[in-house]
Amino acid sequence: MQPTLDRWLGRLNGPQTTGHGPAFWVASLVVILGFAFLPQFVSRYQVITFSNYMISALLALSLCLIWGYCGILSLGQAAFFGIGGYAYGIVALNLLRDHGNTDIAFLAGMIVPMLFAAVVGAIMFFARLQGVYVAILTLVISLLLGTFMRQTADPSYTIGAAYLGGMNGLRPASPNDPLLPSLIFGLGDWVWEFDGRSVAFYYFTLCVLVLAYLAFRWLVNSSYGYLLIGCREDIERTETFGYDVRLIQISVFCISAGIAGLAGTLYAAWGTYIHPDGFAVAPNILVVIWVAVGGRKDPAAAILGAIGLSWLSVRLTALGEISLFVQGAILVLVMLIAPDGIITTLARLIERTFAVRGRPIKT
Amino acid sequence: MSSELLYPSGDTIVQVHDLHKDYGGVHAVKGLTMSVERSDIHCIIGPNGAGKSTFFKLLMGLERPTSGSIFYKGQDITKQPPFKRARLGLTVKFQNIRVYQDLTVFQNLFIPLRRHHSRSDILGQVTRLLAHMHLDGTENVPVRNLSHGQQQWLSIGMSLAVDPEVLLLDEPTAGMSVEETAETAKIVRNLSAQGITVMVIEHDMEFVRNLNSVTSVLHLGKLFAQGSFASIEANEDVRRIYLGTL
Amino acid sequence: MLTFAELFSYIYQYFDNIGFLILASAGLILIFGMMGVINMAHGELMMIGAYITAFTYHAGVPAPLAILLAGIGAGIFGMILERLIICHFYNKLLSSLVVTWGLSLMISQGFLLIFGPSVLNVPTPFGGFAVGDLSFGVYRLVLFAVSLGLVAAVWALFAFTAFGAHARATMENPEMAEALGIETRKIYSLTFGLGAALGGVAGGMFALTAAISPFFGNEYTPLAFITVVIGGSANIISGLIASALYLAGVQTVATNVFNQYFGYVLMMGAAFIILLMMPRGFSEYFERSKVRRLKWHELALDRAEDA
Repeated sequence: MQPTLDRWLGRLNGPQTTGHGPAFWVASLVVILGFAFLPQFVSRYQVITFSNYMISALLALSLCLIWGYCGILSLGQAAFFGIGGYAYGIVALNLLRDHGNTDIAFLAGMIVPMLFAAVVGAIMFFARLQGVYVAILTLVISLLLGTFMRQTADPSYTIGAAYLGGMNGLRPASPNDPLLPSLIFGLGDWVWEFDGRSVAFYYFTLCVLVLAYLAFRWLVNSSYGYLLIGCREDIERTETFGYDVRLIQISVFCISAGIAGLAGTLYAAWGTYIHPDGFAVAPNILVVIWVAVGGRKDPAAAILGAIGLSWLSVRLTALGEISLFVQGAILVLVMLIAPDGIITTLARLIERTFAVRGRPIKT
Repeated sequence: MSSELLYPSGDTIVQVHDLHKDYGGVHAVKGLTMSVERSDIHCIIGPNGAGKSTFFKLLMGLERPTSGSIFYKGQDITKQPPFKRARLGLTVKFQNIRVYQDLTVFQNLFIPLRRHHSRSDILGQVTRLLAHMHLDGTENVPVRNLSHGQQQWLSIGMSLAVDPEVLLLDEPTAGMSVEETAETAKIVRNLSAQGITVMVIEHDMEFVRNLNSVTSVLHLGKLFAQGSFASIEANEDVRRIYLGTL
Repeated sequence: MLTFAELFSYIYQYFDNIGFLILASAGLILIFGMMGVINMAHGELMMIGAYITAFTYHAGVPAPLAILLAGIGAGIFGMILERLIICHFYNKLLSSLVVTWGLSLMISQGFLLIFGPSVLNVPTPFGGFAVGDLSFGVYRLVLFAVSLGLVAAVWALFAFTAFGAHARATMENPEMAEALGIETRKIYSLTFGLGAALGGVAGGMFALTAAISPFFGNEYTPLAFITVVIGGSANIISGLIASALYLAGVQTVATNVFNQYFGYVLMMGAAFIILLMMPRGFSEYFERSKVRRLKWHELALDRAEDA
């Protein structure tokens, strides 16, 4: 039993992620179970809200990968989120009547952003752009997309049964067309529907998040993960070993776009709407705040940062419109005091206090 | 793959022709032409600002020459990006060392080793390399805790991890003690004996004398003199350029 | 065939766009060049200037003085920011970007909380004039003139004053400047203050043409960024001017051939092309043509490493 577990966990453990001992995995299991039992203890409304928190956590994972592990600050992750949402919506609105499910739409929500990222990434990284230039470029692309989508109010902006709708967001092209659907998976005669307002959707999203987290750990602890870190630490040096760093950068850009697109797809299904406001400055800056405050170099830190700050933001709204102000203030404080993120810094303190070290190296 | 040999010689492995690098007012390399024989140890010396480090950067492709050509085994590599040159067998150890400061020694070596070795082989390879570079047992040490000399050796080790044919060492003994310098000379001689061509930029004349190899003197971005170290040492003009009177 | 009015219209738009870019970017490029800091809160400094202008104007202060006060107010605010927060992020481009983005969120949201979302307005002065059957505003030309005047003033400040000489020395080699007895801390503070003041003045000038709200800055920050980034930090005056001339040109042509949206898209594309050809911006290209007499072991050979 133990060797098999070790072998499985071995691929998920490594120096690139915090936490690898039994204590960590047991604690993680407890947290996951906590989330699993949450619907028993809170109102339906809060369950729906928590689904959204987990979608935000997924978006945070995408930035964590590309920024924390590869050192590329992408200020346009919300753009891939939005593209994913719109792609899902457009495909779903068109295919729902004939297929009866959103299988293809779900895939489109991940693939379309990845294709977009491949094109933009190829342009940027083959031109050897780095650092600030990539940051500004990704932000501007997000803003430009937002501006474009906002002015699609004219009825001619229709793709089949989907009308882009300008500032009001995606909607059916005509009264005869179906409304934007929630998730409906179909395989042969089986159909599973996950309405965004349902507890089932909450569990689906939780599963997606957990799987994404495990896949993330596997990816960054693999050889590919080492290469990402090599590019982050000293990209020229990494290239002198014979690695085509441009391809590494493009690939991680695409993967992170896919994760963000998945989050956007879930979001569109959750609320059955998608909207150009998602491309603006605010959503992009929020992702950066979540990941910077939680800790960009670890997926658990990013997830907890996203969920924590989203929850805090909702709590603060009760006190007035101070949520964004407070989040900005938290970001500034964290950058000054704990630039690696609150959770990562705390985890390091814990490690040092309990002197958890000295594991033999695993390749 | 066109092959333009300017000075046909079966043993020439690296060759540059009329190489220029202008940094906008700072003309670091001004018409450098020279060649390096396979398996040689080839030392490059010259006063500060002679263009030596720039030369290495041009060889590795980290800088584009303003004009001129670079040949590797007879093939024109002037336009090739660094990773392609690395795959052909060129590798470099930078003047400012450049190891991954925030990682451990093992992790540092993992990255270059992974090019030619599977994941399960790497631990063995790391042990072997560390022994070779006088760094036994340091696998889990964070690199920033190593001494300057040890970091130099690690960086050389990382460059060797990709099984290169030509190794460019830019000031490998900077910051080293006398003992470490002597060890480094041994390492360089070993590499040459194994058939690896080693080009060394150095300021430590004892080290260069010890290696007793082909020596090129660069001055004001050009090749000033070339020959055995003894002949260079005896050259009056070389002395003068160091004293600044030429 | 082009009527004179149409030709004048294109030239007018070109000058208008140049003035816009120069005003929006002058403060930003100063800070970028001097301290290697990306100040994402620049738009908010402009917003502060706009609010100061609006309030003082509506309190009876004449517009030029109101704009001057805007500059002073924003400048002081900027210096406080610099002392408290920015000084920890010199030459850390990505970190300074993130922390100033947080600041920008705080400032804009803060203003939203204090003053509410309602929009302020200041009337555009000087009226208009006609050329052929087209009419134009006088103020836009004033804006253009002021933008050139500001650039000239900054250039003169750097070229002819003691502060300017100390600032240039600090920009080129801070360690050396310190060794020579220049108080680099004070230079950084004052320069950031100057950059913020330029932003405030820009905000004040724009306040007379645009609606003022807490999100005033968002309109200008991305454009200012692109202008600064392709202007480059090596020689900020020439870089800024070249960048503004180039981008405004693309924007004017594209807006007239297509529409305003495409004006922005093509401006972005044009900026990107410049980045491909001159990764350190226009000013690096200008620096190459100058012969610089500096020690070999300093200078571009090392500077070329850190971007």
